[in-house]
Amino acid sequence: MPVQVSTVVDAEESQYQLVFRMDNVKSIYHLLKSINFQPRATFFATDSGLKVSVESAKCCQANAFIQTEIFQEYTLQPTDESVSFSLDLNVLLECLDIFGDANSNSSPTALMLRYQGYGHPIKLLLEEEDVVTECSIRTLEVEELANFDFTSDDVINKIILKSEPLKEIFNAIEPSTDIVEFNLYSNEPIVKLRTVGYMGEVEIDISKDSDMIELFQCESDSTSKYKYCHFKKALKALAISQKVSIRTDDGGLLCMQFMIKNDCGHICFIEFHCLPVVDDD
Amino acid sequence: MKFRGKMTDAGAVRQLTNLASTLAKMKAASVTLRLSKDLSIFSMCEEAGSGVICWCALEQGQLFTELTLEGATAEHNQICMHLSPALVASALTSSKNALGVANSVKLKLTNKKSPCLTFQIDLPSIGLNPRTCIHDVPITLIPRSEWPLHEHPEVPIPNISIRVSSVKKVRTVIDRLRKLSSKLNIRASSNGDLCLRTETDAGTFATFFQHMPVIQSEDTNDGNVQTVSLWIDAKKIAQLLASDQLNTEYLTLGLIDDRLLHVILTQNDMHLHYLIAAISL
Repeated sequence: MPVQVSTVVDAEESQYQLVFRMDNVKSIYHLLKSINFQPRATFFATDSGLKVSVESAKCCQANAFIQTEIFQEYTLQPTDESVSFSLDLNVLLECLDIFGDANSNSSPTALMLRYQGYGHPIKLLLEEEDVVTECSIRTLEVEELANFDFTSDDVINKIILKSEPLKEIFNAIEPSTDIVEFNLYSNEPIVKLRTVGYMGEVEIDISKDSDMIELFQCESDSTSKYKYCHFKKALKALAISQKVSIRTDDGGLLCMQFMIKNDCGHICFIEFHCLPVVDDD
Repeated sequence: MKFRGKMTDAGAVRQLTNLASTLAKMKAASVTLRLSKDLSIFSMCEEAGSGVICWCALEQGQLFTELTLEGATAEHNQICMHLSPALVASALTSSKNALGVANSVKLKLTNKKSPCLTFQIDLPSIGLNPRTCIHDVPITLIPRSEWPLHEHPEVPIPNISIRVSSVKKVRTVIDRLRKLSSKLNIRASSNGDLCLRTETDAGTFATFFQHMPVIQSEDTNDGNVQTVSLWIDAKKIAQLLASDQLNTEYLTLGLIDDRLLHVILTQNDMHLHYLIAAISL
C-alpha cells in the first residue's frame, strides 16, 4: 500500500540520514534538468542545503545549489561523514516528471525524498491528486570530482550581466563552432566573443555602456579559448536564469554563476566551471 | 457487390475521422473494413497473417443516414476490404473548410481502374454552387474464404476489469515508465486499486491509482481482495495511448491473469478494443 506523503511518522524518519519534502517538485525539476549533460550526478547534503554536481570528462563541471528554504522540510541527521550519493540523473528526472506537469500548470506534484545512508537506494514519494508514485533509485559509488578551486585571489576579471540579451548572443553562435574565444579588456570594447567554426568566424563586442552589464571589473586584459562543446553545456542553465556572473582567473579557468528565480520566488544558483583550451602555438 | 452510404451528421464524420487517424497513427500492416447491414467494423492485425489485435465496430444506423448494401452473396451479406486508414483520414480531413463542416459525406464502392472506396464530400461555399470534393481510396477486396482471418477474436471474460477516467495521467505515467524500462507490470485489485510498475537495474518505480471503478471482478467467497497482475511490453500500450485521437473519455483495462490485457478506449458510444498479450520475464 502506498504511504501518503503527509502521514509518515516522524519516528520512522530518524533512521534516514536525509529526508526532505517539497510541495511542488517543479522548483527543483528545472534546475536539475538544466545541468543534465551527463547521466551521473552527485548529491552533497549539508546543513545549508543540497549541492548537485555533474561533471564531463574533468573539463567542465556544473553545480546546482539548492538552499533549504526551497524545501518545506529538510532534515539532515548529524553524522561524522558528509552525506553524499551519486545516481543516474536521467532516471531521477523521469521520476520527478512522472505526472507530466513540469511543463504545464496543472496541480503541483509533492515530493518526499529519503536516503538511509551509504549503500541504500534513494526513496522518492510523489503525490498528485490522490495518485501516488513510489520510486526507489539505486545509488552509485561517489566518484571523486575535479576540484575547480576558484579562490578570489586568482580572479582577475569579473562581469555580471543580464541573462536575456546574453541568451540571444549565445544562441546566435553557429552550432558547428569549434572554439569560443572569450576576451575581456579594460578598454572598449570590454567584452569580445569570437567564435571559429567551419562556417567562418563571428565576433561579438559588448561595450561598457551596454544595458546588459551590471558590474564590470577587469584587472588585466585576458584572452582564453574554450571548446564550444563544453561551453554549450551551460546554455540550458543560462536559459532559465535571470543574471549571470562570469569570472576568469589567471589560468583562464572560466566560472559562470547563474542566478535562477523559481516560481515560488526562491533564488537558486548554478555554477559552471570550464577549463580553457591550451593554445598549440 | 454494392455499397453506398451517406453521412450528414457532423458528429459521425468526426468520429470516423478520429478513428481513421488513430488507426493510421498505429502504423499497422493493414487495416480491414468489414461492412454489413448493421455494422462497419475496422480491424487491425499486428503483422500480416497474425490474428486481429485491434478493432472497433460502428453502428451503421449512427454513421449513415442512407445506406445501400449488397454483399458478396445474399447469405453472406458483407463486404470485406483492406484499406489504408491514413488515406481515409486524409480524405475526411477535407470535410472541413473555412466555412464550416461538410453538408454531407457520401461513401461509395467504385471501380475506377482498380476497386476504390470513393468519398464524395459536399462542402459549403460562399457562392451559390456547392463544392464537391472527391477522394478515391484504393482498396483490395478480400475473398470470402479469407474472411474468418479478419474477424476479431472472442475475448475471454477478464478476471478484473477496471475503468480509468484519468486517461491523460495514465498516458503520461506509462510514457515515463516506458522510458525507464521496456517492460511494464499492471496490477489491478477488486477494491479499485491500479498499480503500474516497472523494475530496472537503476531501481523500481511504481504508481498507484486508487478508488477506480471496478467494472468486473470474480467473486471471492471469503471476501478477500482479489488481485490480478501481468507484465506487458510497455511500448505497445504507450503507442496505443499515444496514437489515441478519439478524445477518449475513459479507458477500460481488462486483465486476465498473466495472459492478456484488453484495453478499451471509449468515446461516446465508440469502443476501440486493443489486445496486448502478456510477456514472461
